[in-house]
Amino acid sequence: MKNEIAIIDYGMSNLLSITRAFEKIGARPILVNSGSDLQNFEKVVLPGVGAFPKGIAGLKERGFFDEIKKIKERNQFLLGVCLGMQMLLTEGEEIELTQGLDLIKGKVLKLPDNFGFKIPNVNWHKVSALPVKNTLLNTQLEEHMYFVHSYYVRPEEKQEVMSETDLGSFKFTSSVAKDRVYGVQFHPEKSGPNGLQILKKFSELK
Amino acid sequence: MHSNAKRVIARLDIKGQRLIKGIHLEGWRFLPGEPLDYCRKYYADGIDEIVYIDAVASLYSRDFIKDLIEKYTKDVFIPFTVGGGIRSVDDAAEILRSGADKIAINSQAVKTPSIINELADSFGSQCVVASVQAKWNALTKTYEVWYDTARERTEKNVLDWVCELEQRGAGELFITAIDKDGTLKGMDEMLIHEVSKRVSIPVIASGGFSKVEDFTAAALNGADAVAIAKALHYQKVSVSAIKKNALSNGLDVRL
Repeated sequence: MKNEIAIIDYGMSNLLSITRAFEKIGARPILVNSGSDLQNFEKVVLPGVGAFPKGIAGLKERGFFDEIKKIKERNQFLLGVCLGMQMLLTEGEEIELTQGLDLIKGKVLKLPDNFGFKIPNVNWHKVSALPVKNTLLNTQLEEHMYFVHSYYVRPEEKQEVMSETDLGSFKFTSSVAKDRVYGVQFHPEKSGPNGLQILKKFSELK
Repeated sequence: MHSNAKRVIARLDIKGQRLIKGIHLEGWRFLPGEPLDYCRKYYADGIDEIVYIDAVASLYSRDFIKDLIEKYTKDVFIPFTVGGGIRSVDDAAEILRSGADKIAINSQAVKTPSIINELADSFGSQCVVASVQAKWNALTKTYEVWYDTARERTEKNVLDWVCELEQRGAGELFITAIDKDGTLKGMDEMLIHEVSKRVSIPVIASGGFSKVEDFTAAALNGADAVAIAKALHYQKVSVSAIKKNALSNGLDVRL
């Protein structure tokens, strides 16, 4: 079906908001709860809130882990949101060192507690777009997006950083892009019209 | 200092299925129209967050709130906090499951403060907004903690209580100045300043908002956000005018 987007349901979060956000921009979000269903979709969204090891365990339990790793050979588009983005990386250090999907080389680290901001970091912050191909972001204007997180990603390759966000003296990667794989640390489904615009751009990728 | 945007929050007090607004958290009046229409309008105007306080919190209105969240998520894509009548972790879980981003808790925290720890452990601090109703006692020259929609008084000092709430794991403080609430006579700047000085979690200031300058004043006194009810419901101010004024005063706000 045209404009269908698979939303991966691995038991980690309320999927109502992200589903509604895709409906709002005219896409057809379909919840999938088994890895074998993924091959039928051109576009896949990996959402999630919670701890890294539990998220990876959830993906494995429902057969998503290996299927998501095949995304590249199948030429599918993937968007990870929040924990969903973090799991795209090589490994996460939350609770215990856990292997991620390794679609983006790099690590997931805890936000430092000595820079004067509160953890978890819950707020609207500006997102500064970096020049990457096929960006989902507004490159003309720094837009505010809504963040809720205690960990952040550090990709090895600078050219895979789609945006950075500045928390005073501490700057972190707030979104990534590598070929057809995207990830955003913030919640576009909670970031008003500017957030919806990102989902719209993803849904229109060709 | 951090680059947090200062937030403008719409506060909707609900009774049954209607939007209400009182003065000093009493003398409630019904406002015309559906609560959801107010949400949609404020969202279109650029509000950063919406807080629902269920003034009755009966079983019946709980179903209504769930239905409201269900409808809200179709049109409104910003964070949504629900408070009123949350007595247990199970109550909170039910509300969060139906799609709210955070829960606000007041009376039960006064009665059994450990519920804050339980909520933070269960859902994370980011979901837990501790609501505090503060009233100035001219005799003792302190702010006292009230609860049960400002009907019940405690001996607690607000400035101690907010520290305790932070230590127990509250992620944000929602401070209502009872004396100012619904008066449209300006906010309690001293209260905002004194509370913000003592905690490092975000402070949402509420009560008395009347004009765009009140937002900037609250922010300069340390508030991370201002919650507005009457001045928005009665169209005394617009969200865009508030943000414009804040920007011209050098504050970071979401546009």
